[in-house]
Amino acid sequence: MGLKFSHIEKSFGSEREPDFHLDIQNLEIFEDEITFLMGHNGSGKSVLLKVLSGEMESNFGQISTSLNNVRIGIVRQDSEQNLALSLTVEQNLFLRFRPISLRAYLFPNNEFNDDVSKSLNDHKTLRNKRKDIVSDLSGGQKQALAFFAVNASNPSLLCLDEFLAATDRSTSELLIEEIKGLKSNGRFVLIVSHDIELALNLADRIVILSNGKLSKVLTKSRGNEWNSKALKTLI
Amino acid sequence: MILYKFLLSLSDGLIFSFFGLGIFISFRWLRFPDLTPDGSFVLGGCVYVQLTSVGVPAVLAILISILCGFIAGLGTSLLNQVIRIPAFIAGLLMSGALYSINWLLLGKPNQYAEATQMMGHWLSGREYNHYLILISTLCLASIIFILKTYGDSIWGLRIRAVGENNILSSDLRISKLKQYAIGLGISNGLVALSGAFYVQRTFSADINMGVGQTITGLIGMIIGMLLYKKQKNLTLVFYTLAIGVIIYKLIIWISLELGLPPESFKLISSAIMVILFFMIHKLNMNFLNNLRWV
Repeated sequence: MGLKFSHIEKSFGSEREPDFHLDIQNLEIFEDEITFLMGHNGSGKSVLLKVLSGEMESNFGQISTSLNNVRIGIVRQDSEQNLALSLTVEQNLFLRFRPISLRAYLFPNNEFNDDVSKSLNDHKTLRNKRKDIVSDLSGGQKQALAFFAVNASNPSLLCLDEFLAATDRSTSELLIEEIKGLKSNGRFVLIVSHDIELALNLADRIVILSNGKLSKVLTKSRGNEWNSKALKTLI
Repeated sequence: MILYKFLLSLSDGLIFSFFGLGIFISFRWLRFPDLTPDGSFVLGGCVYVQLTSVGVPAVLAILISILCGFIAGLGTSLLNQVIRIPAFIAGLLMSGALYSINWLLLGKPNQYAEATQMMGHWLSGREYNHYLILISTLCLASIIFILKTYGDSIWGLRIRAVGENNILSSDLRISKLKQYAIGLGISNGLVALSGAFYVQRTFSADINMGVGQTITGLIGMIIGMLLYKKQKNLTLVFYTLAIGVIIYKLIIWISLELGLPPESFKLISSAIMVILFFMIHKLNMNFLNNLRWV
């Protein structure tokens, strides 16, 4: 089953002549698929993510979704926006877990120990640095941590905004494997990116925005290949 | 005599450590340049004096003072988060309002307190001061223990995270207003506690005793940050902060001993603040950069 958003609207500037108007009547994201959201600068990708996450309010009506209780996790382009820099690596993860007992609220250190190791998964550097303060980490490590932290809250839809911009190759590969794993676990994944090559490698569906509107949806052909016509519209 | 004077400024420093802890929570955890303490400090003192004068037990009066401070902080957070008044102005408005409230509470600009209203009322002179040092040290240690446990709990982490990065409140699905309300409440509660202790030292409550006191907490906080730059272990952070406040009070005492006129102590505070900022600037320490109020 797909995750369907309808009536996503947001405008900036005056009401009569808005400088920018985002108007997406129907956006469908499918399970078992990685959806890429692409478009030129200013086409409304980030605004769309902000409205979806609730950081920005949609100004006409309500966003409705096909599933109840959709929890959206966003890994922002600037990874520092996902983190509290003066807290430690593990404390940033504690915040994302759901404490169920008073003990978990009071002593997250003891209660969530295993969850932290599990969330950081194969990332050895971060596992060794779990007691370090985040502002001491490198840019790529912060980016990886942002991904793990958002993912630790188990969102039903995971949105990634240019998330590989600062990571080195091994981290990128690790994160891409993670994302493929999410896909096979039945989570919804939406990636905003300018990287066409990455999109062609990873995407099952590419949604193109232009001027705040949904202009095209590309899918793979039957042979699991991108057809050349679709590629032309991208490049 | 010198020892007694030293112990007097030590007890002064210990009492203002609570003030410093309060300032730390608003300025450092919430990144909220709160000016309410100028008023809530006096509020704590006035509430204590008025309650004990009608026979309320000292410990209960202290607890009610803390509660009143908490409510003042809550008020500032509402002004800031609900009516969207900028932090500086919200704090100014609240401390201005508290000036009148304190005056109304006392009924006159200042009120002397009887010795019987104090916690260690059976003692006097040096012994009373020793008693104050003992009580405030014990109180400080237990409050630091509570604050450390709270700060590392999920509740405390939420306050620290949202204070530092507002976007996280929507990501973590927690109310921003609640984090600010609780944070500023605790902060001003501690400041009021400091005020309630302060009147036990001066034996009077004065509506002007809070003017410019926020700077005391700030200086203590910055000295603490210079003493312990890593700021990782909360217990150490709080203790170095308390030591910072005490150092500041000792500097004031020493400079007065050296013959500076007593009226100049605010001038000395300002000078210390300037020197601290100069040191931070020269030593290229960037820990102030991530405080949004700088």
